[in-house]
Amino acid sequence: MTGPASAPQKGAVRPGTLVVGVLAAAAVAVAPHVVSRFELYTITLGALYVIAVVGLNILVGHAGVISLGTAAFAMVGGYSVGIAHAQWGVGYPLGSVFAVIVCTAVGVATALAALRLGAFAIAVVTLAYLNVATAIVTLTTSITGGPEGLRVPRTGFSDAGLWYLIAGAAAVAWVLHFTTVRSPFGRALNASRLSPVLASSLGVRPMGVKIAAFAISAALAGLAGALYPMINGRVNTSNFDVSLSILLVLMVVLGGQATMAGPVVGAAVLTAVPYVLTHVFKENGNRTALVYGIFLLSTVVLFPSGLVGMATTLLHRHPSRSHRSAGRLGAIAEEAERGASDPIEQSAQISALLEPTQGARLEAAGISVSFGKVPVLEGVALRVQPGEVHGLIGPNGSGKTTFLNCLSGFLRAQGGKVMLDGESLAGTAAGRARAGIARTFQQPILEASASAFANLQTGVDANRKSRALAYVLRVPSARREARLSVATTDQWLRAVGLDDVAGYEAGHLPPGKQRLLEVGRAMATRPKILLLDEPAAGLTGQEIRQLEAVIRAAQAAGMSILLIDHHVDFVLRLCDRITVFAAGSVIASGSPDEIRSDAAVIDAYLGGRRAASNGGLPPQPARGEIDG
Amino acid sequence: MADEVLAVHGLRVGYGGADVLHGVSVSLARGELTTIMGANGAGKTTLLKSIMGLVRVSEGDIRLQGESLVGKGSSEIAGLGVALVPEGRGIFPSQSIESNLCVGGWPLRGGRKVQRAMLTVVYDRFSTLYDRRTRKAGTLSGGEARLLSIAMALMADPIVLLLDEPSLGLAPLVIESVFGVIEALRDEGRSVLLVEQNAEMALRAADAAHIVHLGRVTMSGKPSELAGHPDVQAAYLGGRVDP
Amino acid sequence: MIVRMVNALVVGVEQGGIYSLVALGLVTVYSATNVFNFAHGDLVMASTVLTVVLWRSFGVPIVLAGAASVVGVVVLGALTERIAVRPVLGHDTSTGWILSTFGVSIIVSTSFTIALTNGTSPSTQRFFPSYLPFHGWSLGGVLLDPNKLFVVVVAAIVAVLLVVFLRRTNYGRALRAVADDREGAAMRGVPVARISLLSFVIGAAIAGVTGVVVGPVTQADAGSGAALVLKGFIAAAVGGIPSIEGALVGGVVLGMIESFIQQFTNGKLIDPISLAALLLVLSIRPNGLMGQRGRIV
Repeated sequence: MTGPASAPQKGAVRPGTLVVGVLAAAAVAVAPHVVSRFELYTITLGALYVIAVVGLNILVGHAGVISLGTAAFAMVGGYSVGIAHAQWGVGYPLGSVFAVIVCTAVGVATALAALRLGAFAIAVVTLAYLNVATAIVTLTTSITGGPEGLRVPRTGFSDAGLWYLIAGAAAVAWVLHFTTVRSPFGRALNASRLSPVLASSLGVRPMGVKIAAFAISAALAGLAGALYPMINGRVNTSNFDVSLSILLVLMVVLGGQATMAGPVVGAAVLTAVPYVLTHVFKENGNRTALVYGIFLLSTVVLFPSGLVGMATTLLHRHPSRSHRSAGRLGAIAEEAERGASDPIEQSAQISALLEPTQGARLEAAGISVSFGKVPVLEGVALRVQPGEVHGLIGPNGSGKTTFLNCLSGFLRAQGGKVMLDGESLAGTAAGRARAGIARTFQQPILEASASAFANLQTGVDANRKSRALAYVLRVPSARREARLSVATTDQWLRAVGLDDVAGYEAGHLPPGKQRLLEVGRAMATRPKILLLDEPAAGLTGQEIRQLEAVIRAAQAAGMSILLIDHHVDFVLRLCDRITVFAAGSVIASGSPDEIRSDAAVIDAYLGGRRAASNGGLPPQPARGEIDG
Repeated sequence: MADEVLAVHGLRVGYGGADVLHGVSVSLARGELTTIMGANGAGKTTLLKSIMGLVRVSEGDIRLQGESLVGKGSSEIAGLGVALVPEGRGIFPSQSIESNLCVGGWPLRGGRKVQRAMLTVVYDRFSTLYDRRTRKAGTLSGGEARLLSIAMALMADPIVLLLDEPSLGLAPLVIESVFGVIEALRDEGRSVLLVEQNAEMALRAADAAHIVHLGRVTMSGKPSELAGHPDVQAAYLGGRVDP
Repeated sequence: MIVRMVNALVVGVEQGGIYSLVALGLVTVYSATNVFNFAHGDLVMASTVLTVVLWRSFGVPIVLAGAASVVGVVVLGALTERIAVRPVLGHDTSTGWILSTFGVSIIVSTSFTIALTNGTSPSTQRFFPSYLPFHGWSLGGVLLDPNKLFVVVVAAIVAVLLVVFLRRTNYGRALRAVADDREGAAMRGVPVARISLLSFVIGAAIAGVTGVVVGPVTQADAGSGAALVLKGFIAAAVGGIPSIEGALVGGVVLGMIESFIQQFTNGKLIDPISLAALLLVLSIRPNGLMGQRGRIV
């Protein structure tokens, strides 16, 4: 790669990280011998926080779900251990496992109910979790020991031993968090946060991955809550209050949402703060909470990327933010203007990547859609033959994108059927994507702050076979697949002519390259049929030629393609057959030559009397019809 | 050159790094209807949004009766006398027709009395709106909604009226009546800048015309010169790809 | 038995008045900005505390104390919009305001806690005396509390005033236009930023009035903000956001649920059941009981 790329995107571990890891391990080993007893208690608590914060980072930072109820899960974890000990005499190790299982189950159950709500509702509802948990604990005094709480098993660990255990657990949690975020599941989470529409189009069910993230966060919070009473031998409701939930969220946000080091940095800073406040300023709880509130507000408003994010920006790690790189991008764009890749080689590369491919037959019949009382599509029929590039044109507002949304599952039609290779196609967008429908959007939907490489990789990921857990645990088959995914992504970038910008942020690429990236990503999913929504819009002549070359190459490899565009000449050149929409109905269908000379088509575009039979059609709704 | 009420010169507008308009210059003479035509994605709506202050201008100038509009917010520009009839429905469906008209009249100076007077003028011209004035705007048909949208803009008593594709999604007969209203406004002395995809209707109504293709003005002239010109047809159906 | 049920009904309506008022404030802000002010409950609390402190500790006449509190809270609301909401709307995530208004909520509640626990009586609560000289009367065994009824009356009045404002004044119409279609309103020359600020100011004014009016019922408690905003949000969501009638109805429904639970089972079950009720209603009718257009909550 020629651009100033960042290697971590490929899953490798950088030497810098290794050094930091060694230093951290040394610090952990040495700590109990150099700090006071109270300080040891403080950093043990800090390590405990890291366990919970790592899970919360996955939920809040990556999945984008703002949960304010982490303390409730910690409480459930703590009480699970206590109850297991009180009822069944179970010791700590088994008790902790029990706690994690219980918390995961509760997490999934509450997520199923709550995640359907909007973002604010989730925040408010999860904030109430603690009230609910406390109420349940108070009502079942016989099991939970009432205000006295429960005793937990004696562990026989010394203070130093406890520190090693918990710091070790925190390290393991952090490593698992690392592998999870770098796995396809982690990328699916990011996509779901940024754009549920994008996630669905790649076959990811946004709700499903968010529920999984919630469960992970609940499990880790439960683990932390289960380990906490080790320190003082008892668990009761006063250990878990709202300020704990606030503190944990603040650690995620202050450290840096969705960063690797964020959870650790956040936990470290915010464990130190109350320590400083209590010892230096002789503080009580209220002022500490006030400081938390001020920190939270200022972080979110002034530096939303957190401490780690700020540090990263200052160190110019993001290539496209420095002035130098912007110039490079411009130079690359100019170079692209002068001459693109060799079309024959490109075609061969794409064929190799797509092999074996059998383009599917798509049949849509009788598709009707109304928005309220306003008909938008009326009994539309269209057929794409295997391996055909089929064009769809028509004046603005004739229903082309609506039709595409119906095919890809983003909009439910009120009538009609869609068949893919003879099988009825129904269900959600994610399901249809997995059935082999890939699509692009009128405005390319890309993860703007991720690299072009990372963006395209999400398309390659759609074909993975290993399970998510295999990736998290770095099982050999998953690692092999990950390496293959990296290699395949590189090949795709070269095939569509983007290898020179692989490391640049997708949001900073010129529109032509963004389009190619989106098209490449869609093709990388190896679909049965590719739906392109106005891919040539806003592109320069040269960029349109590059796009055309890529589409022709895919066609040569046998892919079925449905192409909507307003550049009628582009469509006439490229397509085998063309269908023309006007006012929600099909007015013509045939070969490019037939369409070019069709009077009804010319009329439809330039005005005058319409060929459509019914004259009183109400208007189209506003743009942006995609129903996520 | 007749009195230029609106002058756009060398306008360059971009969205996040890519230019949509590459140095566009058009002008509108007082009391005339100038039309901007072109295929979708050519930049016509962006041009209107730039005049209205909704999109940032990278380079160039926009002058209303000599006063520069660049850098001003949409609220201020509306107050100076520019009214936009947006693409699509452009009305507020959950409010009554009269409420909608009042919102349209926001830039009007002079308080309730002037607003009442303006309402009377508008109801005079659009009797169907008067009949339905308490009904929710969401119940209107496409053509009626389009007329309401134009009426809302008129409530502001603007110096310049901008129209974004008024024929969009309407049946041919309805288009005729909408254009009748637009031409009548021009005949009364209003200055109108009309963006339209429907070339035939646009050329019939206009005093001057421009064709925009891929963010540049490729043709300008009198409608009589442009009508039937093969390049106009080519620009829509199978013309050059490169400007 | 009948008496108990009627009692539960009456108490439900009375309690519901409080929730309706809080919901009205939340919904007003949301309708123009698509933002729920997490600190809304704390604004109510602030108003209550300020009123009682000015009135009881400094001897200011109640009307003046109330008015001053409302003004103070309005200023807080405007500051929240400027500092915590406006800057965040432009950021990458569309939900930054959730955490920033949560931050404001923490700041307000802890500041008041610190202020109240600093002086001679170190409690986070203050006694708020009744506005009326009598403490309620009994109608055939059914208890009526005048202070709570006062709240219900005020809630109804505020709702009516809001409806009149939104339907009959130009600023109200502009606010609804911004709620309907932000860009479309900007296209018509409506100053969207100023209208957003206005909605926060009105919401805060409602919070201020709420705080003054519910004082005798809820008493002044520096930590009551979070519970209030939760209840108010549940009321608004159950009733149907962003409907004003919905806020009223939702408040009463929530009040009823709570009073029935209190009357017939264990008071501690109130929180879990209210939450469960919210989730239940929203899963059946995602837009609340008076439901409106597409996915809102």
